[in-house]
Amino acid sequence: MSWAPVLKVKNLSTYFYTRYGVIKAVNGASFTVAAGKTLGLVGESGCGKSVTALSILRLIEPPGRICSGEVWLNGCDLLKIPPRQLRQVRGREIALVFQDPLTSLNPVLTIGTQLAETIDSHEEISRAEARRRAVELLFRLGLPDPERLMRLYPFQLSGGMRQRVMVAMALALRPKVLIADEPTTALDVTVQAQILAELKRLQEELGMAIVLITHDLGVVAAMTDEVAVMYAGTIVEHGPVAEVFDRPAHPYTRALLRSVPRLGREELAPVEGQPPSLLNLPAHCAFLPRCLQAGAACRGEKPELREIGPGHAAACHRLFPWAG
Amino acid sequence: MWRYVTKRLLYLVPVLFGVSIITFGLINLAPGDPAELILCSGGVEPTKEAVETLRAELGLNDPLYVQYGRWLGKAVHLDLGKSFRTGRPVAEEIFSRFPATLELACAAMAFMVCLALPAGILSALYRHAFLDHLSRFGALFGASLPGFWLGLMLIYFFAVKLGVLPVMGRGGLRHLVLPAVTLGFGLAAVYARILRAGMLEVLGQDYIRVARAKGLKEKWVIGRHALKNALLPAVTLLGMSCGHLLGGAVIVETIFAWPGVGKFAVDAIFNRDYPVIQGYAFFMAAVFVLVNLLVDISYVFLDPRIRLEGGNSR
Repeated sequence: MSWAPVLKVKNLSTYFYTRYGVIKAVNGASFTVAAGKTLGLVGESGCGKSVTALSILRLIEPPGRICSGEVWLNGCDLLKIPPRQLRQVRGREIALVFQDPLTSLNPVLTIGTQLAETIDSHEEISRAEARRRAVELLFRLGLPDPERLMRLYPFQLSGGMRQRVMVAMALALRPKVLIADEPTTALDVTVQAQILAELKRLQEELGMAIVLITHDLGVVAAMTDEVAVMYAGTIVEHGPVAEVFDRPAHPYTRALLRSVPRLGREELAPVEGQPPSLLNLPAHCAFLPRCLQAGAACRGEKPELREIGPGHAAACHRLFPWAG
Repeated sequence: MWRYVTKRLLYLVPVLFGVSIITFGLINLAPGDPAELILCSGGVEPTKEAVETLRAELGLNDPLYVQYGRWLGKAVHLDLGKSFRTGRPVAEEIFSRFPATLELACAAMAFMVCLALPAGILSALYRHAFLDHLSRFGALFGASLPGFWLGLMLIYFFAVKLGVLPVMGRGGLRHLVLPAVTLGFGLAAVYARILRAGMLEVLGQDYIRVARAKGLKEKWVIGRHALKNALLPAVTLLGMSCGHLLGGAVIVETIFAWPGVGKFAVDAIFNRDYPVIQGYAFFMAAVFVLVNLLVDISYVFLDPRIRLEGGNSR
């Protein structure tokens, strides 16, 4: 890779200890994002994308626990630093935008309070100054009449406006990394496009890295530089977006791309079968039961990510000869 | 807002009307003759003639609808009649005792809040830890202890054995401690549990995760983001509890010889003092409606959704 990564996730594992057994929601995931670049984290529902995002910020609550791994940001491992230092990193260095803007905003506090507190909890400035900066932020996100907006409550805003407020809140302190967990899933298509365009513009302005979690491959193609495909808690393919889309190497990625509706193609090809239960993950490749290319080697141990091209890696025993 | 308050105050009319009819019916269904009871108080069996004369004097021989009509006619002018026993106006009797009940209710509430708020919050924050178990055990203990037992135990230890607090009666702050603790403890148990459940629900919400992700101090996350939302269910119930407390905690008032309305009402029931019972029920209904109105108004301040929706319809 030619650029220096700003966020580096290594071998991250987050398990949930339930009464039914251990759910391995994230199981040894690794990826990096460079400053000013966007990584798309894609996969089916329940494959561990959101848990990965929460784990990076150490927001996992019991019965969940981050069992192993490293999250490097600015030369320190976020999983090891003391809570005080972690609090300073959260919001200032790395910020999070959640999927549903309605539940992400506190219903009983005004937009102004929620925005200003983000700023003045990290900086030694007056309440008035924090509010002034909050108004400026709302204005920059293209929200009309920001002064009035500051006095409103979340339920008085439309979905698109709420998500813009969430983005404003996340970007309030110009973080180096923004993790956006399906930021547009709850919105309609036109609003989705606007929000994504604004994210892109702000990324260029602030030079931040974005981890865009989504299951929408169209969004990945339009927004990201690199893509990491997640399956059953692990990254199965990682690489530049054009490379992965043109020459998908992992059978899951291929199946995922085939399942996208396209003009001129009549039938959709869904990925057959069900995603595996994360409760009893097999020792072999988790995709084996659904894989069309499986062979004898696949029943052996779990495949590791292997470099198969410039910056392109995949975890599969039978990449060749049909890869590329 | 004012329209809402006026509307709610107008509700008082049908509520009071209904309560007075029901109370009137129930009183007259209950066995026992007030005239006989009044005359009996000396311990001597009264003559039939004496009882009859007194019944006629008190108007008890008229048909029920005449009796009720007579009472209602006066009640409209805020005259609740005179006590059969003392001959003093019922309204005056109730209002002279109400300050004592109000004082006790406020003190019990204050004690309840001081105990339930930290217990509920800490219990939720340290879920399944020692503190949580301790608070939940305390809550179970508090909710299952009968008030009379707790009151007697407190009297035994603090008044009789240690002699640090007075046994009974109303006086300064020291007189207030034992009855307030007796009353407040049981309530605190209930509210600690409600608050714990509310906090646990709120702490699992996305906006709490967002607040933490923003790097807010934990005391802000809890105090500003979680608590305000978690208080809503407790406040709803508070109206009911306040009403009950203001109705006079009969048992506690009796144990501590607290001169409040609760004890007064129970005495009236034993004596079949119809005007007092009727007046008391009437008064309590009004208190309940007013307290619940206050609670609903406080709800409006806690939850902007209610305030603004009401405002839009204006």
